[in-house]
Amino acid sequence: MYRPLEGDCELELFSFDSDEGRDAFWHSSAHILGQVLEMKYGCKLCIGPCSRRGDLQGFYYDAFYGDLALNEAHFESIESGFKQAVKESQPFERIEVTREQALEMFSDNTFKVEIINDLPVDKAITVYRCGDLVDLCRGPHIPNTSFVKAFASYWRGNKDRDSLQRVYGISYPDKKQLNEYNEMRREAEKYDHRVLGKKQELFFTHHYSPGSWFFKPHGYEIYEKLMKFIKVQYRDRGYKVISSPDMYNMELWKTSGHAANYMENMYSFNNGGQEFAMKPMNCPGHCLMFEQLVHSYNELPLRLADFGVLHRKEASGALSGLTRVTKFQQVYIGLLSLILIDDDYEVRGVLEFIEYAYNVFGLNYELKLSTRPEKYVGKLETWEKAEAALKDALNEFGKPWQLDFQLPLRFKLEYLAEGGKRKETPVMIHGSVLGSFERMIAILLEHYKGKWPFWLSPRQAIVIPVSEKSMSYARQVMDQIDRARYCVDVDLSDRKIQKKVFEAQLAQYNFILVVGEEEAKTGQVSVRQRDKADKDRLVMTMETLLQHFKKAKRGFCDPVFRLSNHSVYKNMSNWSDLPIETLNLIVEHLYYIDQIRVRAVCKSWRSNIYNNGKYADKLPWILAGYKSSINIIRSNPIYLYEPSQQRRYKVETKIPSNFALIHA
Amino acid sequence: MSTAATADASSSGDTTEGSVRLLTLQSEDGEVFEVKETIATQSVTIKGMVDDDCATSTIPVCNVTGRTLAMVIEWWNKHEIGAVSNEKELKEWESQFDTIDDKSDRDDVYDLLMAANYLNIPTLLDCCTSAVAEAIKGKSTDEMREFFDIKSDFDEKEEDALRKENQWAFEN
Repeated sequence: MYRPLEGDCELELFSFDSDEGRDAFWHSSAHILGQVLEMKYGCKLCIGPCSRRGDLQGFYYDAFYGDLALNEAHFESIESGFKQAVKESQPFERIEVTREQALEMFSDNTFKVEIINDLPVDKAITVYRCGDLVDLCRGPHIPNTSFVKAFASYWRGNKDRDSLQRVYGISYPDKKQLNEYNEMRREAEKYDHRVLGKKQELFFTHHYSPGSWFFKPHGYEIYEKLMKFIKVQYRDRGYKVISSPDMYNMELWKTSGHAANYMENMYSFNNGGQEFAMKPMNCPGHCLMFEQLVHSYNELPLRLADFGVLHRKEASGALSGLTRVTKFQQVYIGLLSLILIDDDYEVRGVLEFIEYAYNVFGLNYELKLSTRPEKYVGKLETWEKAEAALKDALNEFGKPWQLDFQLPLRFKLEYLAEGGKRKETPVMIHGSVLGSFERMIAILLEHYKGKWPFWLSPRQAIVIPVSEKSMSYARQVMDQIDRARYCVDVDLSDRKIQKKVFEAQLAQYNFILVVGEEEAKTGQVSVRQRDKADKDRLVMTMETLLQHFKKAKRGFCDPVFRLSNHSVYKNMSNWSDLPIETLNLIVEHLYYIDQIRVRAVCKSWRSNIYNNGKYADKLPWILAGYKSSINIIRSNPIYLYEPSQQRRYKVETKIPSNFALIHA
Repeated sequence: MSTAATADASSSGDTTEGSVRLLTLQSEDGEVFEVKETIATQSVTIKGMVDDDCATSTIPVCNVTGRTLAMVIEWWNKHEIGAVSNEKELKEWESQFDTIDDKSDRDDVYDLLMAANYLNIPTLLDCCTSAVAEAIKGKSTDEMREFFDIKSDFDEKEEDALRKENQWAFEN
């Protein structure tokens, strides 16, 4: 920071509110943390980066501690060491060194030596000193340690994961921000899917297969329900579900470009002398499927969906519960379609699908956008045209999309264009609607805070008998619900009823059905619903209960999706179609004269308006002639006088002679 | 303890907030609203569901879009007993529905009418039908057709007959 400016330059100042400022702040904090860890525990520091990613804000330091296993008790000591360093206002000093000097400086730390050896030979190496720590770093840093006013350390991950241990830290320029952050983290920790997943016995992982998850019966129930939901959607939206192999010869990955760009994330192995790899994505396989299914333009668009299991290698430090895993099943929709430049229909369809799915769950989302890469394949013109058309679709939705011109070209996919002479290359749109089931379950678990809505719930009901005497009835009730295909359990343990109910509440059963002798006699159940006060208990027959379930299952309201009509909900006032009652309510507010005119507007109004003598007129109309003689009325024009609006109307029609007053 | 439980006819709703139950309404286009039961029962339709204990879980309000449902809920909130201190203030707020000369206002009132009809909300129905009636008053049949964008589906002969029937009303 105190480095003099050596020439003309543009100077830009960053505060904590900017990404650059925050990076420098947290990066500097990581140095302080490293200093404390090294001083206190004599550990060998490895790397200490910072991160702005939502779930991992702050910084960490990985280090090797020998036999020492860090635990919660160490954090107080780390935090006080940090405070001390901050108090000393240690300046960050930038020092340029040669490679040899650097190697000598860090000769006792094999990690740093490795890092130095990986640095480009032609570039100067910089180290930063703060306090007693000298660390390899590009910078930039804050001026001195006193800028870090608030710090907290904590620790995530697995003790027995490997020999490196990671200490996380978070720091802010003031105390208030740290408190806010801590509050947020406490909340998040309480509803962390790993915590809830364990509590609800949904899934677990074993060190024999790190990063892959076991789903227990209740967990898999959710998995299956999500799959069922998405299958119905596929069907309604014209997707064809296919199945494709899990592993392919390396030749395929060479063609797709994965071998060159994605290999470090793939599991490869020797298979009878040939190199194979597990699929990390579905799309290359779908290109092979395209060759089989599509020959000419009228077979497009091809909408493919695949529940294929994907494997991706992740650095073990990056594994995080169900959100970063090595094995997962992606809800993948591969869309091989010809892009009609004037009609971004297919993209809209995908976006609408995603929008719909996330609305059902009440989630906000953002999709990764794959725009034209620097080294794009295909004609620039094609990219630009398609991008412009799709941008419109995007603007309408405000959500990013994925579009792929490369893969079809790499696989030399072609179809016979209209007219039957030219061959054209299709465009691929790919998207994943729910991400993966694993990830979706994690997200939903946290989103619902463990309280699954009835339709997704793996524990929809539990039957609890009051005493041994009603056990057989409890079994009977369970059987009946089970036959109706709901997830139901029964608690036949001999514990106290209060305890059983309490536990069922903790397990988040949507319905707790208590049955005693009284219920057995009348064939009823006493129903408690989750999130409802005790006084809301209901006693109902089995039939009513099952109807109740049926309604609750439909609860998420499934509006019929119409592929062909994107403006289903557009405002379409059609006044001639007003409901009869409503139309007549309007008419009742009108004067007699207006009613006559309203009746003449259109056929439906004419036939739907009642003739029930309800008018806004408060006063009787007056029939008037110029002379009082009845004989004269018959031959001269007469007038109708409307007192409410004080208007008069000339009547030419002959009026019957036997009345002088009309209450019209 | 279970045998002591009795049916409470008015109990329903999705969640509880203090002692007031919340109902979950879902619009045709999937928007979800949580509304206090005491407020939502200004709708005779919803009140009926609550009384019949059918208002558990989400209530789908078909035919009503989220945009309109939001307006309806605003109406309910204003008309909740005790929500607005004086009658004058309420009338003033209601006056926004008075003129429907703009096409967009007209469309809003149309949507509200349909919603008020479906949900059976007497106060809202009354307000909207009055507004429409006010707009109709003094207009000729042709002006009404233009105003509501309705094409006459009478043929010439029928049209003539109509006018003859009450000729004075069409000529003056």
